[in-house]
Amino acid sequence: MAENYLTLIILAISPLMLMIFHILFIRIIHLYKLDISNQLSLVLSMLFLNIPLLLGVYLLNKDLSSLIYTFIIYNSLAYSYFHFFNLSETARRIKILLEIKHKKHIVIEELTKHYKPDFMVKTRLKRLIDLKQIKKQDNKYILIGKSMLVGAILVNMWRKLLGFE
Amino acid sequence: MYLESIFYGISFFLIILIIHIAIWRLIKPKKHMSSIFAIFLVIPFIIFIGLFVLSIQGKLFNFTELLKTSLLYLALACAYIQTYPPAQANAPSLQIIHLIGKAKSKGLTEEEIMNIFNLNNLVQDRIDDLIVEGFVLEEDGKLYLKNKGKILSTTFYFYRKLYGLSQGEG
Repeated sequence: MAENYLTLIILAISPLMLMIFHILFIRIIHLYKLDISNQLSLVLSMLFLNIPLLLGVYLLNKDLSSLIYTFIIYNSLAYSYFHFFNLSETARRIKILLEIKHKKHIVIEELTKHYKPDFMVKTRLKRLIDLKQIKKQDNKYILIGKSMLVGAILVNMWRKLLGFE
Repeated sequence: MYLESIFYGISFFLIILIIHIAIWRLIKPKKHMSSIFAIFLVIPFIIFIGLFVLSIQGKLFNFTELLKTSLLYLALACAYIQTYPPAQANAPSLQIIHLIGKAKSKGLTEEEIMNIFNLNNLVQDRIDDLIVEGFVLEEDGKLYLKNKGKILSTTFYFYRKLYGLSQGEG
C-alpha cells in the first residue's frame, strides 16, 4: 500500500522535478553558451527524466503495469509543462499581457505596429530551424523534421472535428 | 495492480472528451478557456469528490484505486487543456510548418510563406480573445489589465525570472 502512495507522490511532483531540472539545464546552457534552444532543452529534459522515474517506480512496485501507468502520467504532465513553458516563450496573448504589465496600459495601434507580420514569420522560422524541423537552403526553407508536421496535421484535423474550419 | 486505474482513467477522459466535442459542435462557447476548465476540471472534480466520499464510506470503489484513477485522469486532462490553445488559435508556427511540409523538396522562400500565410488579424484576434476572456479591458483604443490579467502576467513574469530568461518574443 505504501508503495502505491509513494508512486502517486512521485508522479504528482514530477512536473516540479522537471521544472527544476530544466532551470538548471538552461542556466548551464547559457553559462557555457551552448547552441541549444530553450524548447529543445526542455524536450531533452523531458525525455531524460523518464529514465530515473520509470526505474524508481519499477523498483518500488516490481510490477510492469506500474511502468505503463507512470509512463502515461509523467509524459502527459511533462507534455503539459512543455506547453506551459512554450506559452511563456511564444504565445502572443502572454506577450501582450506582459507588455501591458510593463507599461501599465498600451495603445492597440502601437501593438499592431510592433507585431509586424514579417517579424513574426522571421522569429518563427528561426525557432523552427533551432528545433531542427526545417533548414534554409538556397534561400528556401525545406522540411527536415517530421514531428512538428505530424503535430500540425493532427491539430488541423482536431480543429475540423471541433468545427473551427 | 495499475491496469484497472489505467482503464478507468482513460475511459473517463474519453467520455469527457466526447462531451467537449459535442458541446463545441453544437454551441461553441464564447469563453473558450473558461468552458474548457469547467468541462475538464471543475465538473470532473465534483464527480471525483462524490466518488471519494462513497469510497470512504466503503460503498463504492477502493480509495487507493480511485486516487490512482483520478491522477491519471488529471494528467490526461492537463495535457489536453494545454493542447487546446494552439489548436484554437491556429498557432502560426504550426501553420508555417504545414505550408513548408506541403511544398515538399521544392521548399518555400520567406516571401512565398508571407504571401500564402494568413497574417491578417493575427494580433487583433488575440486581443479580442483577451477581452472576451476578461483578462484585459479596452478603453479609448487602450488596453488595461483586469485582475485576471494581472495575476496571469505576474505569474509569467516571475516564472521567466526563475529561469533567468527575458520576456518571450511572442
